[in-house]
Amino acid sequence: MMRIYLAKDLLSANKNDADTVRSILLENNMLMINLIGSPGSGKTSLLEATFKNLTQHKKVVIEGDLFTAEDAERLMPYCDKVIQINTEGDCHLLAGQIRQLIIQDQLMFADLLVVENIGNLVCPADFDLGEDIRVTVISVTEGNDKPRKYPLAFKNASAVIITKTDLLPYCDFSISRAEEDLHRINPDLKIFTLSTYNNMGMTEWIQWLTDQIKLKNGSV
Amino acid sequence: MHELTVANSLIESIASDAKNRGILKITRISVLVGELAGVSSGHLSFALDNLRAGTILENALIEIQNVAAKATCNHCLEPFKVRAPFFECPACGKIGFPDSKSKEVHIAFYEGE
Repeated sequence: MMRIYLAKDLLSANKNDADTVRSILLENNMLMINLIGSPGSGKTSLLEATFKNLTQHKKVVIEGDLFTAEDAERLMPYCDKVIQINTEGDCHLLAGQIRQLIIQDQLMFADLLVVENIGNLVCPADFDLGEDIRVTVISVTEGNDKPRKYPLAFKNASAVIITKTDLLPYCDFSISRAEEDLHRINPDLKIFTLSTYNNMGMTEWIQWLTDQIKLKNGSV
Repeated sequence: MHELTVANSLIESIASDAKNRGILKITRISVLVGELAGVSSGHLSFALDNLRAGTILENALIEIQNVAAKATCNHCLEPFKVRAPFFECPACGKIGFPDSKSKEVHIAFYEGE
């Protein structure tokens, strides 16, 4: 009998791919956002509204969905290129897929690459895609318990966007309670509250995002 | 759902290492699953049982151990056991960040002949 100590992390392949993505982004001064959130939290609507206000920059989106290209079609008018990945069942995207698409589809020309991950607060939280910024979206209709129920989706994020604030009068959702829980999970989180329906709060988010793009491409 | 990917990676890693060493049969495997790795031991065990038929691992005893999440406090530097969802240090209440082992799935060792 022989005993072999391998000490191999089985998730390391994704970590290596994420490092490769990071170096490609750095070389090309491109900012990448990994957008995470439940199905129906408003990720695609947020991107539509964001891109309408971000006319100065070259924008590319990688859309992750189990099936259909509906989100990609929605975003097409507002950005320079949209790539759809259909995972046909997989619950999250992998860094290797992002690396391959950036190279294969020549996405390096963009100032901003947004990856809209599969609608899910569990699995995407565990997989680093090599992004500069992870943004997690929650909507006021989902309820106040989401940060406490899915802490890892917020622990590793740089920013959280609370969407659909126009529906606050009809929901039992407290913004201050959400902010308190989110900052207990991650004190460094930047929190935005906005509505893409009436545009309240959009300016602050767009300004922050523009600053991040400038910081990455060295124009500040 | 990604337990299937992890199980595949485990089988491929061990089979390839064993081949290089001239090992023909795997008898025992020890796997460590970090509490915050996002991998369920039960689902991993189920995936392995479905994937290992016909491989060098077919008859191996598979032991999967959970590794409790630990963190070090950013403020008082004390190590502590993480209690989700808040990751707060029980001594001073400040936030700690989990160590890498809490987020990894490791093959500790395997035995073969």
